[in-house]
Amino acid sequence: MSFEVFVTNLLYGLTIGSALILVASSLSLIFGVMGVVNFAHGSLAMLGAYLAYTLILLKFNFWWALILSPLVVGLLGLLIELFTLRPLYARNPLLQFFLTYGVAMIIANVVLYAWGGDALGIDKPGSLQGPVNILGVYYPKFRLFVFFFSAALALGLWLFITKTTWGVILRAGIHNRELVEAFGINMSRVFTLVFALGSALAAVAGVILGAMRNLNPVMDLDLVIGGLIAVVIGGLGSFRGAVLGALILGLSESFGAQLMPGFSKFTVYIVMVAILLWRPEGLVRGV
Amino acid sequence: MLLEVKGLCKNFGGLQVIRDLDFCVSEGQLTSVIGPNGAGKTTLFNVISGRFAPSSGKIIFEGKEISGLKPHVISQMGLARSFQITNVFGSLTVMENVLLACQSRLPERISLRKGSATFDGLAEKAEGILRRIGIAQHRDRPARELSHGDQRHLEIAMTLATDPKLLLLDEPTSGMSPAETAQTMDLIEEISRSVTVLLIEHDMHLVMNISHNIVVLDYGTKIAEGPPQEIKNNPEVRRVYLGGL
Amino acid sequence: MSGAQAFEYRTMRAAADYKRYLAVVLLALLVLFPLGAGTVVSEFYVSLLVRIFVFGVVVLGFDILLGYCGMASFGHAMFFGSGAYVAGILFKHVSPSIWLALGASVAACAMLGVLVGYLCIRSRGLYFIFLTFAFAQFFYLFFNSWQFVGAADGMPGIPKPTLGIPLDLGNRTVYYYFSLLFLVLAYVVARHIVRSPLGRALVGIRENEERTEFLGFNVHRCILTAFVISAVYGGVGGCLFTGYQNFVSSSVYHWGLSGEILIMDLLGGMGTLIGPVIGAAFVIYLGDVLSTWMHDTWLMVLGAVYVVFILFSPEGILGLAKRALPSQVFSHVVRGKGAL
Repeated sequence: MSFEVFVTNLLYGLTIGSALILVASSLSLIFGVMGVVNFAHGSLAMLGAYLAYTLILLKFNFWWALILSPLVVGLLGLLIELFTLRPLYARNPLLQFFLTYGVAMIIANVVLYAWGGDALGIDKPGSLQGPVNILGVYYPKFRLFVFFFSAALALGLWLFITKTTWGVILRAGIHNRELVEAFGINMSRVFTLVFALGSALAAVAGVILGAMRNLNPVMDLDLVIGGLIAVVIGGLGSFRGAVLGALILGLSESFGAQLMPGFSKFTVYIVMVAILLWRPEGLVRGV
Repeated sequence: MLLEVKGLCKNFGGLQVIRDLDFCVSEGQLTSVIGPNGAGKTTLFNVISGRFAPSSGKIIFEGKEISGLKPHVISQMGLARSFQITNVFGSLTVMENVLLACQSRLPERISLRKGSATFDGLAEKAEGILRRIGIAQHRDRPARELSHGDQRHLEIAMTLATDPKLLLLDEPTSGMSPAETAQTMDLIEEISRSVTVLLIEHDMHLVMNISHNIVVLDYGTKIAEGPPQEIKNNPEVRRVYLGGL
Repeated sequence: MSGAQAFEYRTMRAAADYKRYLAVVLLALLVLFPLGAGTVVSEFYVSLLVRIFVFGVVVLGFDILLGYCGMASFGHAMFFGSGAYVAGILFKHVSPSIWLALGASVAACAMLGVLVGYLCIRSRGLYFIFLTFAFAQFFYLFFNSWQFVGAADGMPGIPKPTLGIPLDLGNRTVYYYFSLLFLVLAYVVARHIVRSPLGRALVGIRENEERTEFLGFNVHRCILTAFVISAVYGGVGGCLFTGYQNFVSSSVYHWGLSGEILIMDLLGGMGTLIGPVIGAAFVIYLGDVLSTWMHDTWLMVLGAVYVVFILFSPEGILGLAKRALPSQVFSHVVRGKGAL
C-alpha cells in the first residue's frame, strides 16, 4: 500500500469514525444516564437527514438545516421519551429495548412512506466543496469538516458530562436515582431532556452523513449497528469508549474495504462477536 | 467432619474479604458463623456454595474437594443454601416453588421425555414440607404476595426440599419481627436435629441457645471458635461486638 | 368437599371442557376451510393460512426460548433461513423429497443451534440479543453474495416437493393440509415439552435463574436445549416455507424477519404456546391486508400496534382476552407469562 493510499484510507477511516462518534456518543449518553439501549437511534438520525433534505429543498441553506432539523428531531425525541419510554422504567430493560425497536420500525417506515425509496442527496455548502491538500493527498474539504465538527461536538459533550454540575447529576443518577431525587432534582425531567438531546445529536450525525454520502431508507440500520458496536467495543456506559469504538470501527471499515473488498461488511460483525464473547465489558474502563 | 474449610482466602480486586480461614462443621451439629457486618460471612457462603471460586485454599465436603465447582454440582452433592436477600420465584405459587425444589432431586429433573405424571409423587413431599414449615395455607398464592417472614420461611422450605446433608442458612431471620424470629429459631433448631446446619447470624444472642459450635469472624478471619459458653466469655469477641466495653 | 369447593371444581371443569370444545371447533373449521375455497371463500385465504401455519411452527419454537425460558433472541432468522436454504438446495440439486429436506433441515439447525447456542448462551439480556443478531447477520451477508444460490436475487427454479405417495404436494390444498398437520404436531410436541421436567426448569430459569441453579439444575444445559429446540422448529418452518414458495432468497435471513418473529410472539402472548400462533396469524393477516395499498410501509402500522401492546398489554392478545373473559377460562392458559 503506497503512502498516499494509506493516508487516504486513514483519513477516510477517521472521517467515518468521527461521523459515527456523534451517533455512538449520543447513544452512550442515553445508555449511561437512562440505562436504555436506544434501537431507534439510527432511525432518528435518518429522520434528521431527510428533514434536512426537505428544508434545503425549501430553500434553507445547509447551516440552517443543520440547526433546525436536530431541533425538530430533538422535540420528537422528547415526545417519544415522555409517552413511550417513561411508562416502562420500572419494568424489565429488555422491554425498553423492544419498545425502541418498535419506535425505530415506525420512524423508518414513515420516512420510507414520506420520501420514497430512491436515494437522495444533500448538497454540501459552497464553502466546503472541493478538495484540500494534506500531506500530498487531495482530500475533500467537507470530510475534514465532518471530522473536526464531530470531534468538537464530542469534546463538548465530554466536557459537559465530566466537568459541569449537570454532568455530575447525570452520572450520579444512573447509580442512585433516589438519592439524586432526594436533592430535589426531578430525574424524570432529566431523562426526558437527555433523550431529547441524544436524539438531536443523532439528527446532526444524520445530516452530516447524509451530506457526505447519500440518503437512503436503509441507512438507519448501518447507523444504529455502527453506533451499538462502537459502544460495545468501548464498553457500555463509557463515553470515551464509545468514541474509541467509533474510530476503531471507522478505520477497520476503511482499511477493510481497501484490503478485503466484499468482506468489509463482515468485519463489523466479526468485531462485534469477538468483543461480546471475549471482553463484553469493552476496552475502556470508566467514563 | 462433614465440611472442612482450609486456608480459605477470597479477594475481589484489591480487597481481601476472607483471609486464611480454617474451620470445620461436624455432622449432626448446628454450627453458627457470627460476626459484625462486613466480616465476610455471606462471601464465605458464596464461596462454599460455588457462586465464587476461592482465591486460594480449599473447601472439602464429605471428603471431596468442592472448591471452584459450579453451584448446581455442589447442590447435587447435598449442600443446600438459602439467601440473605429473599430469592424465591415471586410469580410462581408457593407450592410451585417447593415442587421445583423437589424436582431438582429427580434423576430425570431436566428430562424431555417424561410428562407431567412425574410430579404426582412430588406433590405429597412438597405438601409435607410446607406443613412442617407452617406455610401450607399459602400453597396457592404467588410467592411475592407472602409477608416477608413467610417468604423467608419459603426460602428455608425450598432448601429442605432438596434433601440436603448440609444446610447453609444465610441470616434466615433478617427483617423479621421478634416474634417471627423466635419462631424461626425454633424451626431451625427442630430442623437441625435431622440435618447438619451451618447458620449465619449477626445477632450473637439468637444463636447462643441452639448452636453446638460457634465461629466468630471479623474482617475475614476467624477470631474465635468454640461452644457458646466459651464464645460468650471470650474477650476478643466482646471487643469486636461491644467495642471494648 | 363443601358446596363452594364443589362449585369451583365444576366451574374449572366447565372451563376445561369449554377450551376443549373451542379447540375442536377451530380445528374442524380449519380442516373444512379449503373445501369451501373457490366457492364460499377465495383461494387467496388458503395461501394465507399456509403461511400462518408455517410461521406458527416457527414462533412456537421461539416461544419456548423466549416465553418459557426468558431468553430473547434477535437472530432467529438464522434458523428459519437455514431450513429454507437447505430445502431449496436439496429440492433443486438432489431430490424433491420433502422428507429428505425436513430431515436435513432438522439436522442442520440442530447442529447450528448447538454451535451458535454454546457461544451465545453464556451471555444474557442485551448481550444475548446483540450476539444472536450478529450471527444471523453473518448468514444474511454470506447468502446475499453466494453465487451458487443466486446471491441477492435468490434461487429460482426450485421444483415442487414430493411426498413419496400418490398425493401431489404441489397442489395448494394438499400443501394446506400438510402444513396444518405439522402445525398441530408442532403444538402437541411443544405442549409436551413445556409440561416436562425440562419445561418447568425453564420457567424456573426465567423467573429466577440464580435460584434455579442453586437448587441443583444445570442451567447452562437447560438453556442450550431450549435454544436447540427453537432452532429445530425454525428450521422446519423454513423448510415448509420453501416447499410452498418454490423459491428462496436471502430475505429469509433478514434481521427484519427476526424482529417480526419476536413481534408475533409478544403480540400473541408470550409463554402460552397458543398465543404465538395467534400472534403469527394476526401479523401475517394484517400484513396481507395492509401491504396491498401500503407496500412495505405497512410495517409502520405493525410498529405502532407493537408499541401500543408493549405499553398497554405486554401479555399480548391472550392477555387482553384474559382480562375480558371470566377468570377461570383463561387463567391456566396465561400461566407462563413472562417476567416482562
